[in-house]
Amino acid sequence: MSRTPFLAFLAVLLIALPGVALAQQPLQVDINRGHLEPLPIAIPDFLDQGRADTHGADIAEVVRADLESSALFRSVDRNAFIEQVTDIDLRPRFQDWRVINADALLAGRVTVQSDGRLLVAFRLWDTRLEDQLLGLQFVTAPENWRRVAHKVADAVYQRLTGETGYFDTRVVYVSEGVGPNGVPTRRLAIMDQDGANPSFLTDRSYMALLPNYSPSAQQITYVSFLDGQATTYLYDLETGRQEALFAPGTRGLARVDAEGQSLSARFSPDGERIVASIQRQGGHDIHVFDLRTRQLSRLTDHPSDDVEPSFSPDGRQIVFSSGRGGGSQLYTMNADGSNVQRVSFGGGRYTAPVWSPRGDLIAFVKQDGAQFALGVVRADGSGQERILYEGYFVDTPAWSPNGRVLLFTRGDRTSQGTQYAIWNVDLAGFNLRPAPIRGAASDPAWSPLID
Amino acid sequence: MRAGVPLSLVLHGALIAGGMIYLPQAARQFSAGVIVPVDLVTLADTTNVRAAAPDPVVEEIPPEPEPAVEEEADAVADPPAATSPPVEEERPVEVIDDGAPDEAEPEPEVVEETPTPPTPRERPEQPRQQQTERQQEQASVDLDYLSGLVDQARESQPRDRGNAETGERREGAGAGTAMTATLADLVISQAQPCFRSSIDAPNPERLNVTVRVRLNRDGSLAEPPVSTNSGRIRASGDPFWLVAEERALAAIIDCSPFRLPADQYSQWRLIDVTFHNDIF
Repeated sequence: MSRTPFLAFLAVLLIALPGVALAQQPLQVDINRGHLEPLPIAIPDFLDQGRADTHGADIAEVVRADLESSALFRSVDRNAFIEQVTDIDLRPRFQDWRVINADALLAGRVTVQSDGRLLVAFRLWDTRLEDQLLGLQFVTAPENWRRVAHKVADAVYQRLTGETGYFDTRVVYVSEGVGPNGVPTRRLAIMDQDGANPSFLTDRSYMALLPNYSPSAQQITYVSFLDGQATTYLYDLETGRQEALFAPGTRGLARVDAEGQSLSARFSPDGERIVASIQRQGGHDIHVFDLRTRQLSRLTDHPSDDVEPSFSPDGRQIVFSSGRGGGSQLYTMNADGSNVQRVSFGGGRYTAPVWSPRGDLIAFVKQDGAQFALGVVRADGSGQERILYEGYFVDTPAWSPNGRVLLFTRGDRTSQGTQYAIWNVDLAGFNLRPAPIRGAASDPAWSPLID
Repeated sequence: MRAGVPLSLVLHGALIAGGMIYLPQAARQFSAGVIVPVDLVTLADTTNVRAAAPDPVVEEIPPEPEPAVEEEADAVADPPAATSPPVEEERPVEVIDDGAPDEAEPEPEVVEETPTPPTPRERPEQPRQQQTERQQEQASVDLDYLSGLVDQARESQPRDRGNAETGERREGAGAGTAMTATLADLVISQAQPCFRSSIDAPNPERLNVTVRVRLNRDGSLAEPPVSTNSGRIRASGDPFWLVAEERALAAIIDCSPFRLPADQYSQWRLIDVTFHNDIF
């Protein structure tokens, strides 16, 4: 019979095939979870070449501080370094850096050029992939070494996280003080994102509130009591000139009613329009002001107050808070005022919505009873809202330009009354820490990345 | 007879129902029982062996030929860096810089990318391959010594002997599929701690990376890991995905060598590790 060998062959085949398949198929493994520990990065002092005052050590120090402030990086202790980098153009001995658990190495050099300016060059290495991730150089005047350091930190941050950095930015805020007669003062102040170079923009003679940046980082809007009434002003950071945007009478760029307040003006992402809530015939409504045509147009017309508008990063939508549904809730609408959608549904009062520069989230302040919270919700209203901080008082969230970090005004009850300060928290609710500002402060506004 | 049929039906039904309730539990108990001991056995059994193996590898790197290769690479790497300054002098940015000492004026400008030393990327591959070959040689030479170590360990630790027996029993019972599940668990438990997740990126669930890992018998990497969806990642131009890919590759390198049962080498010689970034 010829069937038996055939059957035997078939049996052998059936038995052997899975075995062969098993031997050749790669083992499939799925890893569904990872850690979120800060990345250990070694940053030796940048090499000084030329004169002594090249700020090599200073620049490295600022880069370390910037990266660590994000809580996404941990600077490896310099005392642990085995290899001393003497030439950034040579490949480092990766083993020496892996031994001290440095996953990345940033080696930089500062050279004084013949024209006296600094040439800052650096290479970023991955010690595990044993590869250069980035090599860049910047040229600057020596007094701008700090900005170069921020730019280096931004480049490293972007290369290692995938998102743009936010270190070469500035923050405008309201510095709260007490005047000669015990009168509280509120002055606009500006500083680098890391607290360096603070200076005042306005004087004590009038109150200033609620600054917001233009996308060019050259102008801010803010609410000024220069005329004794809350009026939105446009302030040019370069020249120090300012003008009333919406004011009663003929002074403003756009005329509003005699008692009309104008509040919380924000720029559109293209910088050509300003959206604000303006009081006319009793109620507050959202208005858009075109800076080129100087045309003011009304977007909402509801008996209840519509306030605190903020553009989406694509300029197509506006989020605002309104009492139209009872209490105060958040709504989005198209930039022409159509298609109003409610996006917040929880209990309590929702205020101060700000659209994330990423576009997917809206930050808000929520008041529930005596408790305040800072939270984010998806821009389309879907999903759960996420609370990032809860406390005695919260106000005025301001996004970092990459949409990962929020600054906000935090009030804490003390024996001398409520103490206001600006705090920092990231999207995951981690890295809660005070902004590096001396004295009481509120109303942060975060600049876009400075070019 | 007539009563027999329903009775038989009822009894059979009861048997099946009982089986449906009991068997899944029994299976679960059984599979749970399978996974746990293997984990312990292989770890305990092999760490002694592996602990001896990596040492020669580390020592191997210093020998002269290798640094020489490295320096050569450096020497080649140098010139391009040296040529960069001339290129950089044509930067159009300078004019703007000089003009404005104002604070708000943008001073520092990206001048250009310092060219990556072109050769090093290819170069290190060679030494690495040589290295692994040598590793293998070394491993084969040292087998006696290693098994000696195992014996020593077994003698000195009576508890180990108990474990080893469990391991052998498991081997005999081991169907291929059950084995791969436990092997996968071993890989997961060793690679996961080294993986920096990207769940903090926007829409992280799209950032999957599959890494092909080829291992030597001692659990060390036979070649640098590569991601099998690298083409798509590059084509997407998504910086978050690129970073997720680098993090996945780094995790494999960081957590190697892997400690896996040597007698099942054929099953884990080639591993496809897929790193997910899903929010749960």
